[in-house]
Amino acid sequence: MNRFELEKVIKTAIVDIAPDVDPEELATDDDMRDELDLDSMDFLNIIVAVSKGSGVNIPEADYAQVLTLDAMCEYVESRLN
Amino acid sequence: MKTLDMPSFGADMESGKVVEWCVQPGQKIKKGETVALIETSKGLIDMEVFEDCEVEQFIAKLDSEIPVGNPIVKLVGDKNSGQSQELEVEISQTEPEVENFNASHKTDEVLTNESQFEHSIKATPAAKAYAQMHNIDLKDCSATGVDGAVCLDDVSHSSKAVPRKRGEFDTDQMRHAIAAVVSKSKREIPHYYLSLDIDLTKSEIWLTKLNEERTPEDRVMVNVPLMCAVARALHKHPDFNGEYVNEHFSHSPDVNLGIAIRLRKKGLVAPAIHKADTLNVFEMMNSLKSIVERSKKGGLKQSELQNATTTLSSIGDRGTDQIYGVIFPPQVAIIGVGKVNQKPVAINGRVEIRSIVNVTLAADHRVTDGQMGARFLNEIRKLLQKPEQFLGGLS
Repeated sequence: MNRFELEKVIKTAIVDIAPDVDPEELATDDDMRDELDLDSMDFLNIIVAVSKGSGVNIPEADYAQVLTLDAMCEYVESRLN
Repeated sequence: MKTLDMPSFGADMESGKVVEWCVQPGQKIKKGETVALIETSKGLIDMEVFEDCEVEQFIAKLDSEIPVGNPIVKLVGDKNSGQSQELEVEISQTEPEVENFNASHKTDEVLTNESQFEHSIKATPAAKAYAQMHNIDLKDCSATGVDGAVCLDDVSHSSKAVPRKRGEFDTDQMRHAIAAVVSKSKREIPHYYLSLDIDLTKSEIWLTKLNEERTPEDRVMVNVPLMCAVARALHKHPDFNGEYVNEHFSHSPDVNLGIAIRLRKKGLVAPAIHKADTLNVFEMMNSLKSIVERSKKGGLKQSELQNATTTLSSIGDRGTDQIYGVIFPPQVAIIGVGKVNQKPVAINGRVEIRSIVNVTLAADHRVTDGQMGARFLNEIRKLLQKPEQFLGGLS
């Protein structure tokens, strides 16, 4: 899975959670929870989508490392390679 | 023969609209099946039946405002469930129906003083209120009412009134309904408030271990053990679980825990997880996921919106340290949960860093007192020190 495909998985999950948001306008280095006004269930749903889409399981202890779109992509890419 | 009436999905609700029938006349239906989709200020709600029966005839006209308590469909069943009443008259779709739409208006009067209107349009007060709520210009509506006035039906059928999809709601209408409920609560319920800091460390450690081997979709969130603890504490302290109506408090035999769920665009609903005290931590998590999903995307059931016996409001992990709620009448308590903080705590003469969460209670002083409330909060605290008990249901 390349970066583009990974971003697509995340953005698809975002649109499902926040249909009023254009994910293309998301600042990739800002905390997604603040940018998109996500609650903890929303964030978990993104983690689930990434897990299903990429096969990479992000443990709870690492949630703080994947709060931005950039960070989440880099985390998953490093575990895929 | 009996009828199914327009239910109330909250203390604020005065009317609703049937926007879609999910059954056909002559169809046999089972208990729990959805009969119709009802449009309310909380969005589209699934109206279900509470016993096996057969649909005889539709009474309500689609997309017309039906006051709470008025019949919407005729059913044939084995016994009277107590949910409905026999009525000999069918609902009228003419002007008197609007009387219940907004109780603060005298609705049998068409205002004819044209100086009161910016655009000199005759309209019934109910039509004006509806138009204001839905941002509809009365000029865009037909006028089929008495003396050529715009009536409620004209406004609700206006092309500018866009049909609602599942999961959608009118923000103004919802905020109006919330305002009515919280104002009534503050006016009529003498609240008292208590707060307790609870050490969540043992629960967190237990939960981390539980989630270690689980995939993300099967993980249990950190507030779920709290929900289990609150539900079981309510079972043990029933004076916080029930309703106060006509100056009398009735305990509920079940703990139907309302969960305050924030919706995007300033929405708020509080559907109930039924018999929450009997659920283990996995069942509670699945129930939470289900009501959150259906709150946001549509599909909440009538029974979930009507039957909460107490409510839990969690401000979330990026919220504030404390939240004091406003009781949803006719309930008698609301529990607030703040965010979890790492704090230094003195334990056996030493300072340790622990996970601390503040839990508050806002309760009805007509039913309980501070001492009772303190015991209730301390029960929650005690339960959270032995989270392994949440693996099983309440015995």
